[in-house]
Amino acid sequence: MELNEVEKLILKLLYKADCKIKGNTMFQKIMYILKSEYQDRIHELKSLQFKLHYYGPFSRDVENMLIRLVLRGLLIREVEPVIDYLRYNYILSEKGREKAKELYHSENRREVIDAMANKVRELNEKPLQEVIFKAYRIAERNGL
Amino acid sequence: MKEITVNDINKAVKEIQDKWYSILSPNEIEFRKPGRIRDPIHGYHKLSKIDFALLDIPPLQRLRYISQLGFVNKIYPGANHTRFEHSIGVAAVAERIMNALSEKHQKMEPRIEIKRDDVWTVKIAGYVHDIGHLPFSHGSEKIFEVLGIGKKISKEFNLGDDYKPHELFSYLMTKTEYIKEVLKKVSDKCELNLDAERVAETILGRLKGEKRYLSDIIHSHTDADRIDYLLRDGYYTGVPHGHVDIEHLARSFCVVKQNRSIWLGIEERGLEAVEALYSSRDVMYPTVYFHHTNRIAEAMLTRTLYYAHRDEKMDILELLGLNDAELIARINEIGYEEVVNKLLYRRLHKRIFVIRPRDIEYKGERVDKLLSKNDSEAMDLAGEINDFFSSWDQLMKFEEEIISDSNVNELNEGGLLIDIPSNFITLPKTEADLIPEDYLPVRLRQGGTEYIWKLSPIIVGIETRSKYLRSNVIVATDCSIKGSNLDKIRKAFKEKIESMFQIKLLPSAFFKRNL
Repeated sequence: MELNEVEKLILKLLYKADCKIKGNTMFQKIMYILKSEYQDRIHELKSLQFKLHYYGPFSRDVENMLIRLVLRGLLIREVEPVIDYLRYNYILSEKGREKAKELYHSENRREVIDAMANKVRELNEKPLQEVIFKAYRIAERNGL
Repeated sequence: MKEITVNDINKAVKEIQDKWYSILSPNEIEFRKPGRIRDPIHGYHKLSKIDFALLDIPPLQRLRYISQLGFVNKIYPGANHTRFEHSIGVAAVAERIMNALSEKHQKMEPRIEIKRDDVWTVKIAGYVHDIGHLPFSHGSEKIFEVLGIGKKISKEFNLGDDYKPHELFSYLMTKTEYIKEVLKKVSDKCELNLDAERVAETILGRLKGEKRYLSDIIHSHTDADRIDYLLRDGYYTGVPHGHVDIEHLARSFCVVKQNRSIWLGIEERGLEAVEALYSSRDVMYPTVYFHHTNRIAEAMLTRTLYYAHRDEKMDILELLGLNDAELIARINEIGYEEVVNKLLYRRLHKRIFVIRPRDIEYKGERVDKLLSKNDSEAMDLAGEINDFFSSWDQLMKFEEEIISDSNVNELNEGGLLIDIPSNFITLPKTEADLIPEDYLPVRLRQGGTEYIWKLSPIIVGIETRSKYLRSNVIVATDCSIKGSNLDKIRKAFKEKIESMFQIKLLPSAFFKRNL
């Protein structure tokens, strides 16, 4: 089945960011932060709806999209033990990389996509708690 | 097919509101003296004049005629309880939780004060949280999901993507002028300051800031709704699912502060009570809610409603104002008496296939085994199958084609159904799949909070195993089809699905009734 616009965006971002996303929670918070900062320029982000929880903003649609991308062989998820729990890390597969490259090169908003990818990389490097709190504070400010 | 717009929905809600006014105007609401009712789950339960006044309103009285469990009484004959007593139960449980929180947080940080207005906002949310339920409860809800109505409402009001259609209808109905007038009358009479918008936000778990925890009591993953329905449904079906200590559970709730918001949490000492609740749910889901007979009956009703909408014999939004009996009468009236008889007299479709991921062979090996090895082609297949059947139009077309291919004269439209859960084939779940946002935070004895699954291997086990292992597709046909005709239908289905996805159905997928 055809990828939707947000799934295509996710692939493009991971292609340019060229990093392994550290966990479902990190991914959710990154997507929320990107939505709050870029949705006026990247319209497909507007369709994402989040709800605020104790652990920050969360979107069921984003969760389902990640699963679809894994099942379609475009993302690989690896289990990593982290201190006292298990986490999935997400990285583009070979097939995903090819698809993402094709999508990126036909993209006419590359400047914005590049800026978003830098943001993804920057946030992904931070400790998870810091990213959760950042997303949480933005969500509270946005009245979520 | 006619597309339903948000304007259509608002118009339908307004028509229902007009009906409420015609039955009982808010000005006519009476405040009887306090009394008690007896409930099989909660025992003797005090009701104040405010409770009685609220319970008299038409949207709540309608719930007396909406079965809590839809068609489950075809399996468990005792399951005839209704949304009405469940709503009373939710308000009762919510009150217990608030009493426990008030007492606890007089001394424990963060200090909270649950004012009279707060108590009544939450209780009223408990009462009205299900007024948007449709006839046969979840039995007729699927058609609204198919038509994307829930998503339209969510988007229009910017509510988030995690609500079922009935929750959104309850939200819209609570925001009507009628409910506003009812709450104004109650407020004036009883020196309160109630706000219908606030009640509506509470139903969806959307209060903000320092009052967030109040809406968590009504809408979160361990809320008054779940506590009441698990206990109630277990009682009326007779399914023994272990003891849930409701008093200990209510006293185990606490609140936790995060930045400027206060959230509902669970104290570490209450973990066992929460585990009992999860364990109950784990038993109830496959044996009651997703029992194959219930799934089949719901699928039969969904298709009937779909055909009625497709052929413009009925406006699907009529369901918002109907109860179980009225819906049966309505679909009888528009020419579906055969389906009505099948549903009423338990002449339900019978299974011919029950397909789990382990019943499908791909590249010479079972799909579930391939997925556990992270086989990329098997994952692609899973994605393809899930995506294909997630489209209602594709599913309907698939059913029609099998009916045609089987060449069985007695098999008409609706005579074959395929009930397939969303994300039917999924990867084996591990602890890493557990989403923190799906659980209340646990407040530790030594301070701070923790994810619940880090403290409870029982919850990890329940949450990671059950959905994956029990997910199955049911293929069922009209119960009048027998013998060689059944074989023709089986052959048509098997050939079509095998060629479509390049798979093989193993003998374990075939279902033969014991007669």
